[in-house]
Formats: sequence, structure tokens, C-alpha cells
Amino acid sequence: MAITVDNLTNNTFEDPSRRAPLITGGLDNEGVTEVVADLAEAPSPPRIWWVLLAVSAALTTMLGGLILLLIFKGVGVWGNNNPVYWGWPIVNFVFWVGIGHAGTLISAILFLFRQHWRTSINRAAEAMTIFAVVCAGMFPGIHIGRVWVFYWLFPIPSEHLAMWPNFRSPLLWDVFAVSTYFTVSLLFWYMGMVPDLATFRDRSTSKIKKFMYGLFSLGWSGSARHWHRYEVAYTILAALATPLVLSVHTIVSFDFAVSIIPGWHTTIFPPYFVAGAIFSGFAMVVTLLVPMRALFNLKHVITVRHIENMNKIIMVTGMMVGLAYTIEFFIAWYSSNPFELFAFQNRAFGPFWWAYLAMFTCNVFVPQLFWFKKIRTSMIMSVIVGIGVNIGMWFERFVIVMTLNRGFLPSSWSYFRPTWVDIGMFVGSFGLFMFLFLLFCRFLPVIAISEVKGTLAFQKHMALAGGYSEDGDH
Amino acid sequence: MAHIRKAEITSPITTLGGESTSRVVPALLVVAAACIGGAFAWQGLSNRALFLHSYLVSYMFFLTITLGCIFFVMIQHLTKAGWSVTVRRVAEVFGCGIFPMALLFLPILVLVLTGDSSLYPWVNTTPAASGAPEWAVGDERIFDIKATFLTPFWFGIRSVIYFTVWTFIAFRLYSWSVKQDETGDKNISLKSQSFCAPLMLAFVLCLAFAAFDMEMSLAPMWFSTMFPVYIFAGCVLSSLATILLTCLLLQKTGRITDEITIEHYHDLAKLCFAFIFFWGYIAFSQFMLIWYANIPEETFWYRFRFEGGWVVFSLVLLFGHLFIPFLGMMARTVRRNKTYLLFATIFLLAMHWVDHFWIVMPQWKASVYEGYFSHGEPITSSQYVVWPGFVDLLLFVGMGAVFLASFCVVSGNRSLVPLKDPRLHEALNYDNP
Repeated sequence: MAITVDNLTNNTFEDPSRRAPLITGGLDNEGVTEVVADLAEAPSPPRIWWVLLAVSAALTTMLGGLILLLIFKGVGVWGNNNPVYWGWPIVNFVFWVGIGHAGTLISAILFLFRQHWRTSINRAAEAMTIFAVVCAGMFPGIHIGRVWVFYWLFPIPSEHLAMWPNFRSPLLWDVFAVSTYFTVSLLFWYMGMVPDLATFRDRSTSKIKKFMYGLFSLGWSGSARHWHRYEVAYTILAALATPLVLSVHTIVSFDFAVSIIPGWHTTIFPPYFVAGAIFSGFAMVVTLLVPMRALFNLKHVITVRHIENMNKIIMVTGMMVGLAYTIEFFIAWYSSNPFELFAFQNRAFGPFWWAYLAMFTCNVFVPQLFWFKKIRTSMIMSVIVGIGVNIGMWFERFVIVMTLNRGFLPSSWSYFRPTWVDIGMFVGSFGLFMFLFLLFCRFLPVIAISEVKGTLAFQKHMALAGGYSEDGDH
Repeated sequence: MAHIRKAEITSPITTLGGESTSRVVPALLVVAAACIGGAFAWQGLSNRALFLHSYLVSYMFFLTITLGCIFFVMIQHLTKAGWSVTVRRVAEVFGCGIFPMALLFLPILVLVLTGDSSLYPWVNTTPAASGAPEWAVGDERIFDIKATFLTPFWFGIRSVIYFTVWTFIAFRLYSWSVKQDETGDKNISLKSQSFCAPLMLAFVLCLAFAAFDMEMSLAPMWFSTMFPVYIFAGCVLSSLATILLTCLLLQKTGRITDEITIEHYHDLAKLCFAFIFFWGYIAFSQFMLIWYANIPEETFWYRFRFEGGWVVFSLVLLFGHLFIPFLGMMARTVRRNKTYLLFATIFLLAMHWVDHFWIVMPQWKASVYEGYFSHGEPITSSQYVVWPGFVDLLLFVGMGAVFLASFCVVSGNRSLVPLKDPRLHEALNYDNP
């Protein structure tokens, strides 16, 4: 029986009696597979891919060189100095960890909330999570001084080791939180990919590809038993990953909040950091997916509605962050603690006023543009706001860290300046991130094909029952 | 996957029944007046501070449930939820209880405006020897700042704003929803959705500052940026439990039997489970950060609650509000068992009451505690521990009667499920995967 699946291109209409289709352009099961597999099967990727890969590879190389420089010369190559002992490295660490959160939210929480639209974006977002965590983990990893004994971070029982980590330090909790996060995200991502890897295996013509995809698809045959176990495992992993959305950035916020530094020690930090992380993560997903869907012909799978939904989440989390700023400022005043109040006034009107302004503008005001449907469904504006949000969220962490520049001892007040190595490493981390992401785009299924097909089946079903828009006429 | 089985409301009874409510409401109001009046006569005259604190405990219990219900309705509209259409009406009706809640707040407001400091110590501005009132720990600078925010006048203005905003939201959404029952106009759903977006911001701002005003300022020297989030977590959890409980009881009396299925209970219970965890997360984060930093200006609030008899309440919350319900709501089978849910929701609501008791009651001898903070004199708080008693029961029953009466009046002869919501079919045919 031929059921015409929606072939309209604008699925952002509002009609409460019908759910808008999530896959457009008349794509059917085979069409979805074709569209996604095309990327990996094309004899050569688009030229822009090569250009971007070259640029990001160069930046990654630069990053590697700078890390070597750091190892040979020591952390003095950074701008970190009294009183700002934590400079850009921690800012970059928190920034990248935050970026990762959208992937986990999309793959775990939106799954539990049965948000079908997540299926088109979860794979890329999860990949982004993993690459972001790689970038994040790097910064504290190279900040520990003697990089070659990084394993001392872990509590390894040994008679020869004169070191034992301090369990009361949130920095150690970070080690556990981030490594758990990385492990679970990787598992979740990989497990979800198994059926799609099998699809690639079955379609590939070259022997090497067949072998590689075959190796990683773990002998998937698509039998009912496989599917059953797969779905059970997926639900369990989603439930396990859900607390991770909260825990990782909560622990990161503890790095600051357990201290007794004015401006850092405030109880709202855990949920406020989590909201900020989701905020920046979604901004990054939008920033990546909008060009991706255009370049790789994925417009009917990642539709305008998907982007619009993400933009709405950006707006909501942006306002949560804005509310947290307001409450923090209010309580700094209400507490009548002169040090606390000074810390906040110093942030807003002190030497780093420009950073505070950038943070507030980008995080609180810019996302307000999304109140207008025209803007939140415009691809170019989505990217602009997404980039703006990420600038703002980087500055948020910068503002928090720079609270240190004027501590309790006015004689040690100074103005923090990054060195060229700081800047180079931050730029280089983007290179690493992009490099990994581009490889992912070329060699792995960027869309969760099997999950999208599930959505497609649901969509057809609802169209039959009159719940979904069938013809796009509204 | 949804299977289209039903398209219409089929329950024999979908309303509370106007005739029975016309007798019930006056009875409930008499009970309310007798209980609150009785409690006042019993204790209000002899120990006003203690009475007012007890009053606030029960008041906050019902206020937070009401606010949670308003939030529930708003979030369903904002997310275009389909599954929850059939349980939304109960939340809408409870949300309109915000109006009687505003009336019940009047006694507190009048006392504050007339300069009575037996509930909120900051009302007292009489300077002690050091130039600032005793509660401000003798520092004039601290008093100067607090006194610009915590004044009876501004407290009054803010309260009026809070209740106006909340009442406006609750009644607007309910009246639209009821109108849709008649007309079936699907634009009402769109209108509600776009109404909720900006109003959510106002709602949350009001909630945050109301948390500061109504409960945090009981200890005017204490502050925590997390406090509104803590109150919010309790709001959502208690309202979910209330919606669940109400649906169970309505179905036990033969009402809306077909529209709310085990699938809806299952989903509500899942949300309950999530918010049990969220409450624990927020409560732990707030406590842990204050405990770890160990700054006396913050720790004193928790210290009162860990000394003497008060520690019992802290432990009851730790186990009763977090560990036991967390484990108890984890399994799918129990979330789909109505008998169990009946017990679980009552238990959760009891814990919610203890939560507010724990926040409010240790402050009843505020001046003594603030003195403890300023002079460092060891005062055994066990001297001042208060156990829930007869007065608390009377106040709870009294306000509960108002809460129920409001439900009956607002609901009246109207349907307890939306009749023509455009997403009704999704809720009617809803299955958990």
C-alpha cells in the first residue's frame, strides 16, 4: 500500500490537532538510508570537507606542538599567575565539558521523554559530546605539571607511590565525573550505532570497509532477538546517562562553589551550571548541524522544525541562566556581605567589565531574538545566535575565573593577560574538535538511521489515523 | 506506539456533580473556619509566634501544591504535550486555588503591615544598643541593606504582585480551557501556548522572590541562592502527587473512569520519581556547599536543624523524602499499581509537609537564634524544639478544607477532563512504550 509520506518542506506550522511530520521530502525507509549512507559511500567528499579538514588538521598539529612546548617549558608558558592561578585552561575545560551536555540530554533525557524529533539529531550530538569531552579532558590533563605521571590522578594502591589523591578535593571528583561521563557517552553512542554500522557493512563494496564496519557492528543480523536486547539495553543506558547530565557539571561547579571565594561560593551553582551547559551544548549542536544539513543534503531529515525546537531549548535555558545571574546578584546584595557584593560589582564594573558585558549580552539578550518565529526558523540567524551563545558561555566561565584577579589582598590585585600559548591552545582545541567531527561525518552514520525509521513508521501510522499531517495542507 | 481506539469521552460521570458540591462546600467552609479559628483560640492568643509559624507551615504546604499545579498546566501547554490532556484539568482546577490562597495570606500580610514581628523578625526595626535591631547582629551596615528590601511596605507590594500574576495565569488558562470544552476551537490551544511562554518567566520570578520573602526571610540573616530552586522542586513533586492522588480518588468514586488510564498514572509516577531525585539533588547541593565551605553566616541555619530534636526532622527528610521514595518508585510494576500509588502519594505529601515544617518551625524563636549567632553563646536548641501537635493538625485540616472547597467551587458542574482539546485523542489512546 502506498502511503505518501509528507513531501512538504516547511514543517514548522502550528496545528494542535496534528503533529507535524519530522521527516519531509517524501523520504521513505530506503530514502533515509540512501541519504545518510551517501556521505560515507561517495567516492570523494565535497571539496569544502577537504578544506575544513586541512584547516582543522593544521590547528590540531599546532595544538600538539603547543602541548609539547608546555611539557618542555612548564605551565609558565600560560598566563596563569598570582592571583589568577586558574586561567584559560580551566575556562576552556568548563567550556568544553558544557558543550558536551546537549548530546547527553538529547540522547538520554529526550529519549525518556519520548521526543521523537531527537532521532534526527542525537547521533551527531552524541559524537559532538565525545569530541567535546576529549577537548575538555585535555586541559586539566596538561595542567597537572608532570604530565607523564597523569595516572597519579587516580587512586592507585601502590607501595611505591608517594602520592594519594585528596578525596576531599572536587578536582578529584572531576576525574571520576568526567571519566564516567566519557565512558558512558562513548558506550551509549557506540551501542546506538551498531545497527547502522551493520547497514554500512551490508552496503559497502570495498573489502577494507566491509571488514571494519563488520568488526564494529558485532555481528548484528537484525534478528528480533537482537532488536529486543538492543532496545532494552538502550533504555537502561538512557536511564543511567540521565543523572550524568546533572552530575558532571554539578561536580564542575563544585570546583568553584565549595571554596570560600566570594563570587564562587554560592549554592545555586550546580543547577545553574547544568542549565548553562545545556544552553551552550545546544548552541553548538545548532551551529554544527545547520551547515551539515546544507552541505550533506540532509535537509529532509534534519528539518527546520528540528532546528526550531533546539532554538526553543536555547531560549529556555538562556533565560534560566539569566535568572541565575539575577538571583546571584540579588543575593550578593541581600546577604550584605561586603566581600560578596564587591565580587559582583567588580565583575560587572571592574577591569573585566567588557567580559561581563559580553557574557550578559550574548547569553541573556541575544537568545531573546528567538521569540520571533521568523528568526528561530531562519538558518543563518540560528547559526549567528548559536555562535553568539557560545561566545557568551565562554565568557561566563572567564568572568567566573577572573573573579580571582581582585582577591582579599589588594596589594596582589592585577590584570590577567593570556599569553599567545593560551590563545593558540584554545584555537587548537577547536581544531581538534572539528577534525574529529569531520572524520565522523565522513566515516560513520551521522544520523541514527534505524531510529529515524522508527519515527517514520510512527509518522505513517499517525497519518493514517489522522494524527499527523499527511499532505502538508494546513 | 499509539493505536487509535477511542476518539470520545466515554465515562458515565465526568463532573464532580453540582448538587452534591452545593452541600459539601458550605460544610467544608464551616470545618475550615472551625479548625483555623479553634487553633487560633487554642494557641494564637497565648503564643502568637508559635501559632503563626504553624500557620505558615500548613499555608506553604498548600500554596506550593497550588503553584506546582499552575506550573504543571503551563509546562504541558509549552511542550504541546498530548499524553497529559486528560489529567490537565485537575491541575487547572487546583491552580485556581491560588485565589483562596491569597485570602489565607491576608492575615500574615496584615500582621506584617501593622508591625507585628512575631512571624518575620525583620518587621522589628527597633535598634538595640549597637544601632541595629537585634536580629541584624548588631551591624548597622547589614541592617541598612536588609531594611531597604525587607520592609512591610515592599513586602506588601511584592505579595500583591505575586498573587496577581499567579491568579491571572491560573484563571486565564482555566477559563480558556473551559471555553474550549464548548467551542472546540483549536486556536485556544495555540493561544494558551503563546500565553504561557512570557508568563512562565513572570511565574518563575514571582516564585523565586516569594520563596525569599515568605520562607527564607524567616531567618533574615540567612541567604542561599539555591533556596528558590529547593522550593520549586517541592512545588512540582507535591503537585504531581496531588494530581495523582486526586485522579485516583475521583476514579474510586466512579468519575472519569475511562479517560485516565494506568498509562497516565505510570507517566505521572515517572515524573514523581524524577522529581524525588531532583529534590534530593537540590537539597544535597545546597546543604553540601554550605557544609563544606563552613562559613558561620550560612551554617547556622543548618546547625539549628541538626541540633536537639530538630535533627529528627532532618533525618526524616533524608530518608522519607529521598531514599525511601527513590527506591520505592523505581520499579515499573509499582508505578503501575494503583493501590501502591495511593499509599505512595499520601506518603510523599506527608513528607512535603515535614519539609515545610523543617524550614519554618526552627525559626519560631528567631530572636533567640539570631542572638546565638551574634554572641556565640551556646543555646541548646532542644529547648525550643517543637513537635507537630494538635494545632498543626487543626491548621492542616482547616486549610485542606479551603483547598478542597476551592476545588469543588471552581470545578462546579464542569467536566473534570477537557472535552474538546485538539490533542485529546492522543491522551485517550496513549500507551507507554
